[in-house]
Amino acid sequence: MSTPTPGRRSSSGGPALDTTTVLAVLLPLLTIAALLLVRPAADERPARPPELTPLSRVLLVCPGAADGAAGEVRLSSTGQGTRGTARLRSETGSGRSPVRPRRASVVDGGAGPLVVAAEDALAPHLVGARFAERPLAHAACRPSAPEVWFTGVGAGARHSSVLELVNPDAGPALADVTTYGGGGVLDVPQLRGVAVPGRSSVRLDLAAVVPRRGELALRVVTARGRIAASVLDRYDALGAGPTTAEWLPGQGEPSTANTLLGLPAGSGQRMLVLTNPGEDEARASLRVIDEESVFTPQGTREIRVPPGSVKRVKLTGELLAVLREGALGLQVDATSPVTATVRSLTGGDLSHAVAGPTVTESATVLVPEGDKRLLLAGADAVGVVTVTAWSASGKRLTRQRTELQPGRGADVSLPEGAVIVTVEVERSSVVASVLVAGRGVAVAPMVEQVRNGLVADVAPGLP
Amino acid sequence: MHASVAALVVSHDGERWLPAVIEGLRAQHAAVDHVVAIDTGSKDASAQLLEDAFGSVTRLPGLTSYPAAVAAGLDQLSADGLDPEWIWLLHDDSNPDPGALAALLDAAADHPEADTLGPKLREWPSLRRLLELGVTITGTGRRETGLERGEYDQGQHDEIRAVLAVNTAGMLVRRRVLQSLGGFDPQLPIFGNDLDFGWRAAAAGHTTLIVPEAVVFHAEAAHRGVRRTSLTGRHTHYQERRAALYTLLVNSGVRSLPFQLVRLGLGSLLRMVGFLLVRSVGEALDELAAVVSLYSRPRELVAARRRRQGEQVVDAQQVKHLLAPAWLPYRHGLDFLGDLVAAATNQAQDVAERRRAAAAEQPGVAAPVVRPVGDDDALEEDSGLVARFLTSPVAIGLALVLVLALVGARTAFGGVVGGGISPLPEDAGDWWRLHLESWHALGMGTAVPAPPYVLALALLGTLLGGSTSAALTVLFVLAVPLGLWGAWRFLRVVGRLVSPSGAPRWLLLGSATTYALVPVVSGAWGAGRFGVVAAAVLLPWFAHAALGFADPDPDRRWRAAWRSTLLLALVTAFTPVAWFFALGLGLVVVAAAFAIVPGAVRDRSVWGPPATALLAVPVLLVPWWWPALLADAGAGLLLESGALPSPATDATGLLAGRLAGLGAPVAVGFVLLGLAVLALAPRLTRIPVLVCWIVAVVAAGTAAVLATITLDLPAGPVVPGLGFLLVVLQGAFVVAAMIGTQGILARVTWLRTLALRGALGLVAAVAVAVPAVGLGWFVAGDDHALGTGGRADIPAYMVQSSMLGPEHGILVIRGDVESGLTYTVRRGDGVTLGEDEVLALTPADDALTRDVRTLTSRPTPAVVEELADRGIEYVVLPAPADGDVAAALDATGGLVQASAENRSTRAWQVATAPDPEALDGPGSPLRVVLLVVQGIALVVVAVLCAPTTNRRRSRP
Repeated sequence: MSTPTPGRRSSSGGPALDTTTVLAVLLPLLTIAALLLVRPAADERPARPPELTPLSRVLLVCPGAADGAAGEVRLSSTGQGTRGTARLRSETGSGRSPVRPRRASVVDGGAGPLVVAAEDALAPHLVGARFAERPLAHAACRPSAPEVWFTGVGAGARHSSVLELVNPDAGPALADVTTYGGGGVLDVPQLRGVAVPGRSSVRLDLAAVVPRRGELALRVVTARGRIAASVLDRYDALGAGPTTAEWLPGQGEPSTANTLLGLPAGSGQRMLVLTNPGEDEARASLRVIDEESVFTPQGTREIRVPPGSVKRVKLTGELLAVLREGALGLQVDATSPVTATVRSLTGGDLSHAVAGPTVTESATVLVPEGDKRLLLAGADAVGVVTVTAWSASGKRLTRQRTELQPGRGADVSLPEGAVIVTVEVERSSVVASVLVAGRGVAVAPMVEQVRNGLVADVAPGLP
Repeated sequence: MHASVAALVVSHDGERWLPAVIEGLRAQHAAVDHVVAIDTGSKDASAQLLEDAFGSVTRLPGLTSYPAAVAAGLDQLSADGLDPEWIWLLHDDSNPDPGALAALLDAAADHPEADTLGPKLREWPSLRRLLELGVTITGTGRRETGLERGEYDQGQHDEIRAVLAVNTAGMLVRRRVLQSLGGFDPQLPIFGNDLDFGWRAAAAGHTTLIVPEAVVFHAEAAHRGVRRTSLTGRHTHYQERRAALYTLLVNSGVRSLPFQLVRLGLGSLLRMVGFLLVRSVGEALDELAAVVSLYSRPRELVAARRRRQGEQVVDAQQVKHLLAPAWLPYRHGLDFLGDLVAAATNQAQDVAERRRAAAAEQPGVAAPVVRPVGDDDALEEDSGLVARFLTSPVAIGLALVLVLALVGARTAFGGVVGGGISPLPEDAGDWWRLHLESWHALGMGTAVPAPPYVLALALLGTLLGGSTSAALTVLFVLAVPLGLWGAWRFLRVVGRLVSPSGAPRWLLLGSATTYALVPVVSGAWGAGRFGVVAAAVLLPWFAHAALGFADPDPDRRWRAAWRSTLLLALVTAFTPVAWFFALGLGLVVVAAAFAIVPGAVRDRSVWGPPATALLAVPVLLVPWWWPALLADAGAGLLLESGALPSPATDATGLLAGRLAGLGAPVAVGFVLLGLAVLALAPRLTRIPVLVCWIVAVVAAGTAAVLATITLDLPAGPVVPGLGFLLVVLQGAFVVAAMIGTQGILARVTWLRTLALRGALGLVAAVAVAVPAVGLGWFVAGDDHALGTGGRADIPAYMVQSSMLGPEHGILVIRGDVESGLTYTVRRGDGVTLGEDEVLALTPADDALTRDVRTLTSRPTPAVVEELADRGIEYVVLPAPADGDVAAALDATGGLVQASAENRSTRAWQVATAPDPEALDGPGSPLRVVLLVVQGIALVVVAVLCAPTTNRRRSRP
């Protein structure tokens, strides 16, 4: 860097001063102008969504049968022309079963849990369910999930539940079950780190593990391996009536907006159970969904759910009256994410309306024969749903289109013989359940099928 | 009545001094009975002068050594039939005082045991300085006089005492003794024969006395190289050194001989290095030649020792007290260090005064400008240190700033990790290895070279006892104090360049503090951007060195060039952008200089030094940038050092001196900009302020160019690091503001109107707020990334396993399927400082990316096998692990679930043992060559930028 000689400065006369004045204005401006070209860097790495690939391998787990009642397992393929063979593995042995499109074939699954595996073309289209006849019960065969919530399980004499954990793989698996009670999270050592050996299952009778009255909620997190969890809920009237059992569907994750569909009409008690796993109190509001609107019946009050605990609300008054007359469902909105279940005991049979997942494209469910309705709600835009039903032998019984509108539900009657029910949603998304009434009541929530595998975008990370 | 004395004068090209010598000889109070004149082939009129004076002269050939000449003189005496008791040896450059001989003879009479007597030798022509009062030799072969350098003769050594030897110039020796000892050793033709003779005489039981009353003036013509004889040639140092070694080796005792041989051999090598370090290449070679010439002819030594054994009558222990004490060489070593420091300080004397002095020497310029002594200086004259400190507000202010800076840096005391600082390796040896390796077993193996600052940190760490954390702690704790010191030095010189009186100290303190806080208030300090911090500390030192380009003395300009080279290379090592900026600035300044002074083009010493400083930097850093370009990692040439991502900055940040989202309040940053703009107002100092703005323009231009570049690293796009340019801009603003203030102060009496004074006061108050707020923020603030520690989400047992060898790698996969997964491979002790950049710059390994994609979507045993082949032992999904990926891996054959402390961290072990050769890579002969080039270049530049210490070189 060179520096000017002070001595020379004095000798430079008038014109030099002009130059310096010009420079004195110019240089700062130049500096600022050049710096303005420096734009803040967009250092955010763009989102890298996963790539979709056709699902090439699927593994469904059908829960074990309810006590005594063997029931049946049905399998089907939703794809036009996609037939194949599913591999079955139960505790008693393994076998194969052909799966044909639009036909609900009955397989011999035994009383224990059944693992159904399919590959290639059949994989994205395989559906299955286990039914029980007397009283009516339904459980879909589901793939394993890293996390699932069961709200409203019991561990008492009247109301008790059995948690079944199935490990479909050869390696060991480990589940962490968190138990929420009315007073907060319960310390249950037997439920922490439940090991499930390869290709086997573990049944935990909560009445034996955490004997207590009141409502509980379970959060089942797979810590190792793959685990499919299911809960069989039982109600014993203790001599006042027969014991009834029903599978309690799981909820994927707590949400601030829960749409519970599948509330049978008629007399009987209805119990709403909410779980707030958060650290702040949640305030939940209840609204009834019917075909005309979503409304709050008179006298319905806000429910406060303390942090980290379960709240049971017996539905009474005007709200109960509305439900008895046959509302479609209940909308539970909360200030922080909660899980919700309505347990109905109508006509001596147990049924659950659990906050259902949203269907954006299509979903198929296998249901037992009987009087049934398809309930739709929670549309986020005006759209159309095409409902198709097939009989067990593959005969198309109905195909109808129904409009969807936000702020109101829809009720589609289905033929009694319908066993395969498919909904296809256009321009909207919706929560759907099939309510079956026969010798008892069963609710089959419609869950979008996983048709694609996700291949994550992989890139080297910062060291 | 005196005994008979024959004077023996030996001359060789001594025409310059001989007339005075002859005159001195003639003027002796004590009569000289005979004068034997010997001339050894003089090419001048020496022989004639002697012949004219003493009648006859013995002419010998030019190659005759001094011992041979003396022997010839003795023969001449015998031939003439003369038998004097005493021989008085005189050189042609030794002029005896009239009373010299008389004093010697008196002493001889008083001390009959004395066989050799020597006079006090004083410098000729200065006449007052003492040269020798008897000599001895140290264990390292140094000729020891026992005198201080340039000591004046004030009679302080005037006592007759026994010594080991006396100089042959003026030596009075008994002829009998001289002959019985065989005269001087012909092996010592010019130098050192007196020492050897004295030692032999002492061993033979003779006494040598120094007689200070006798004075001889000696020009030491041969020793000083004023006279070149065919015997010494150009290599007087060779002769002297050879003589010293010879003397020690042939005279020392038998028992100490092996020790002496080793000591002198190693010592000579050390001395050689020392000579090289002070740029005395010739002397270094002489040193080597002397050792080689002696050690390669052991027979001569053996023969000489055998001769001496015959003469010895006294035990070696009795001679020992005449030799120099054993500690003496070490004291000389200390003296040398002192010299170095003094020279360095002298070197740093400021360029402003030298320019002024040079200007004063120009014809037509009146008296030199004398720096007025300020009030502060007046106090220094006669008060104690404490009083001076307590009465100086500036000193108290400075102390306060330093204390607060240390308090502010308290987080760094326990060691610094976090932000831009990756975990540190165990010791400095790891840094050395990283620097020297051509192929790193990192990631999947890489040839990307270590970043250049690793060498600097390795050196610093090694100096601090091998501690890496100490190196970083020193950098971060001393960042502000060192920056302050450098800025003070630089600004003081700038102040004097602007006006003869310089800037007042309070202004220096304020400006230097403002600058020193730039790395802190910008947020670079808190974010662990050690590159920017180091560059900010070094920048003022570099700027100070670069001011040397304006020195009037070409030699100093070259010195400045080498010092600038070293500092610029250091700055560039930490912030590579610095070199591009320096290049731009150099071009602008040189272009401007040539536009103003076109004649400068022809003077190589004007444009040469800056050009050298710029072009030598790439040579010093060559093992880094060349292999980096070859390894497709050229992005590193523009990257900021430290772990990615580095904080970005924009126009506002650069102007206000803040990295994006970090640092002290932005508004305070703009105050400095405002002051720098206001500094353009005073006309008196406008030109130097404009120079600062030119620097700012170049920095801004560099930033604008760099901002258009996006570097595509495997881990995502990054922008070039602008932190250095931020520091330069802020530095330029600080200097501009200081100079402007100086300009206003010079005209402060003009400010008659109250309003103007009020406005000025307001500006001053706002200006003071800049460093005050910065310092306060530093002390109070605690919001920084330092001390947060690295990610510790890898199970400890895996880390232990990975320490077993590079092939025990851990594949770490983060993120989730929805928003994308990233993977890294951790080996050894993890990714440490320096390695992070190597890995970030390593081109993506597509095959591995493909494998990881397969592994996380549809894992197969084949992919797992592939991992083992590539040196992966564990796969880890740190918390929160993606459940889907974990489930898929759980179901994969070849992967065994492994435990982790954190339940939501998932880990698997690859069942197949990793391939031990997975990480082997090719060596690089090129990089080895480049490392050697760097090493040599570093030493050469370090030697070249060392201050001149050799007194013989410095001009009187």
